[in-house]
Amino acid sequence: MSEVREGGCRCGRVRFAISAPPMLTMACHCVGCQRMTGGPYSVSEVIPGAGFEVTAGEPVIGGLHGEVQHYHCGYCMSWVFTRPPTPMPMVNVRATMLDDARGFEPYVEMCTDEMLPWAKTPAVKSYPAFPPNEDWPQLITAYMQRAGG
Amino acid sequence: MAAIGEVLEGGCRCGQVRFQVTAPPMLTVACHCTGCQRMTGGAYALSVMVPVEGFEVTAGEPVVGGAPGQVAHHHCPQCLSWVFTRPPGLSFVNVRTPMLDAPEDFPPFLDIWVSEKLPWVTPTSAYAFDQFPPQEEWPALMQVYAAERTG
Repeated sequence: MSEVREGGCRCGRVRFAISAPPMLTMACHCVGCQRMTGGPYSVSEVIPGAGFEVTAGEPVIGGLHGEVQHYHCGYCMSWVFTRPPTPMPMVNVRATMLDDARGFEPYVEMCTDEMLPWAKTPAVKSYPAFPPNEDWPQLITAYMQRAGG
Repeated sequence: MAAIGEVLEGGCRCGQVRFQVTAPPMLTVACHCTGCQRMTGGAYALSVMVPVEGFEVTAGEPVVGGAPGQVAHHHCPQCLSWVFTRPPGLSFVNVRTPMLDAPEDFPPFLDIWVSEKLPWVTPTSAYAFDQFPPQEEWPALMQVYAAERTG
């Protein structure tokens, strides 16, 4: 079990609590994430769905309003977390929303074919596109072993 | 690389907000402050500073986001991308670099608020400032940037 970690958006109206260790940490360089962030890449912790709870505020949907649900604060518009299409039981929380994000480091980076030339990260694993479906279990296992989880 | 005088176009994630930049950028900046980390959901914010008269929204109606009292941060109302910042009373607009259709031409020329950066992020620009650069340094930075862009 890990201790509860808390976080929230820029203005603090949306707050959340994480009560499970991350399954994986990642940076995504895709052009979509570049535009969603206004930065070089998005940073995320993959959290088991049961270990994530919104504790304040009512996040609203942004992004392309498709199958992947991108949740933002409706006031400051920070991009707080993403729910993949059901029934995937996980939430991708933007790591920089954590009250203390200094412990975060991306284990895998993806979509490096679209990476801004100066934006390489120190991620251990690197993929030119999205990792193939069959690679995710081993990425999660390797990350969790490394993290001591 | 974009030629001098070339019109730069860009837009948000969903394309509802589009804009044009018709003046040469004054400076490019990576800001590592924790406020920008939260506004982005990324490691830092990327900006291209352009003269206010050289920036025009050509499609969509951006809405204001950011923390209470911050009136400068403009987002797309549909995808909620943070598209640009228009500081009130100042003569420039900070366009988020990745909104440009060709962002790779505008790497950061300076990194600011490096004191708050994520531990594993390494600034790549020529100039790094622990906090916000002192007022008197900006004109010189813009001169050096302009010289390098035209050089």
